[in-house]
Amino acid sequence: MLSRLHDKEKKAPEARTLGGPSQRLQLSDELFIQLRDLIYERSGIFFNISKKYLLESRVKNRLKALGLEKFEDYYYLLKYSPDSGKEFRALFDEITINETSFYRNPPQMEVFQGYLLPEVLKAKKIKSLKLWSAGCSTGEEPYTLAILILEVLGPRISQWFVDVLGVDISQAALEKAIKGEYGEYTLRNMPPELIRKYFVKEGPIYKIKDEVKKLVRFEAINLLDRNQTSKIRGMDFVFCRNVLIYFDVEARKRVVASFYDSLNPGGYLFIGHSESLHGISRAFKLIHFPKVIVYKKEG
Amino acid sequence: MKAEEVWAKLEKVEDLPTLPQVASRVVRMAVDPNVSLRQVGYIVESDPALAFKVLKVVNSAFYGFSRKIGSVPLAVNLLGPREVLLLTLSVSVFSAFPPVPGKPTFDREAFWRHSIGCGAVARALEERFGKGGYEELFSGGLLHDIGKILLDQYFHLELLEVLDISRRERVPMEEAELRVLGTTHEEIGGWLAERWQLPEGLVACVRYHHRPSEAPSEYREEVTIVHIADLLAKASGTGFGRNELRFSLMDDAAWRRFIEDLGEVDIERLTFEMEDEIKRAEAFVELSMEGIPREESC
Repeated sequence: MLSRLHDKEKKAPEARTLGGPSQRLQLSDELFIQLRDLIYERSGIFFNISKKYLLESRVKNRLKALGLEKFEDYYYLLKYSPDSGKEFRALFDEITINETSFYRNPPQMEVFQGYLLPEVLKAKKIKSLKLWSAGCSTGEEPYTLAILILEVLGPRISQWFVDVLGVDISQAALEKAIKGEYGEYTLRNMPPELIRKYFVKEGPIYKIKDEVKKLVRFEAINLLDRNQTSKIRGMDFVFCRNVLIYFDVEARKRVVASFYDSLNPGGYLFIGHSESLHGISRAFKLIHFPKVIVYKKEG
Repeated sequence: MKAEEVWAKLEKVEDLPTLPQVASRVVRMAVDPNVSLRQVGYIVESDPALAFKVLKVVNSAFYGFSRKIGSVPLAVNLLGPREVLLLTLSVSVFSAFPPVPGKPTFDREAFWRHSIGCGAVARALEERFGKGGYEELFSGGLLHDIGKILLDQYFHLELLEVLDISRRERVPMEEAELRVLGTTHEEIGGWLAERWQLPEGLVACVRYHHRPSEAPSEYREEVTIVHIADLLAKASGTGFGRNELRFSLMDDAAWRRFIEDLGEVDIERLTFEMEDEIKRAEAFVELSMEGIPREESC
């Protein structure tokens, strides 16, 4: 019933007068829509109106950094500056800041653990399971996946060959990943019983246990390097969340094609919540779950 | 239980829920493209308790007006007649079927959140893709699952069994209903909608929302929209219990027919945008429930 409300509010003289000294730095609904459409076009990531505050605060940081005074100016910079690629990167850094954590986006993790992993395991003739965490940064995602596999397989894990491959371009990030030591903050989304089960606490540090570590390996690979990615084959799941936004459309097409090639028939691709493959790939079948969209390579 | 027993029991029920008179007038008025500001103001004001509740919602943070809106005519002028009609319909339907405490298996508030989300999405889909002229879509979405309320009220134990089977065996609710009751919430809802003398298109939306291809051809498109809206509302995470839900729009025959002429649709973007509609609608339910304290019912 509510889709037309915004128009109504704008037209009605009594509606929501924005006063006060901060008025100059408020993102109007109209400009928000323009900005989010531009970001969607460019990155495939979509900001719901309910996330407006988030975009607004992140863009404000960019305004400050650039010494700009108006959201309009920033929008024009992104849209028309020949050098906008650089600014998009800075904006995406701002948008995805602190994003990496264990058990990131719980609905996706629940769909993985509750539906898709059991389904894939059940369909297997040979007891081998392979996952690729693309753009794994400091290792939170591949370790989370390994933990969920341990949870689903239980004691049966000993009969399975499990290989979780964490890939990132940053050597420094990977060194941290290999170490497997984390602070409390990055565990904020993780169910407490899983923390107790799979980490050893030493002072403020949480160390990931060896039973998890031995399922995961890391490699420094550039996702755009076809020579390197073409060696990654036989995957059952690929996770690449909030990474594609750093690539332009052509690069995204190439990267997603390499995910498709790496997957077994019947395998699944997860991208970031509110990211989209529209205009990037039509090879996958799009499947809806509550709050989650996954992409299936049909068998 | 056999279907005949279900119908026999329903026919005998004396305190069958009624659609408030105002709501049924509103439903009919919403179908009329020539509805005027004056008519809408009149119908809302004809029920002072309702007018009071509507103004309460209009004056809430949800609409964000900085000035107090003290009269129904002013509200109608600001929001437009259709918005006020829909708001009136929602508020009166919510108050007719308020949350029932102590029945954790059937959360009325969640029920209405899903229903109004479905109504909001149906309307948005119609605005985006529709061929126009289906003013009942919001009402169709809002009322599509009304049969579940009857199930909850008069067949509570059977409903529990249905939910249990559906969850355990991961089968659609309708399938479990057929096994337990011999009929479905669609049929029961359709029966109620007919008793309420709702417009035929609206009855069709209730009766066929899971199987639009079986709807009478003159109503098939609107039923299809409600069907898709129902899926998208569930995909956004509304819906109750933990519905075992997984679907692909491209597998849905009704969706494929629906978009045939539209070319390629950005399904992801559509999903995200509909989440917006649903979030706003959900906020609206919370607000309306809060705007209607139960003890205040008149």
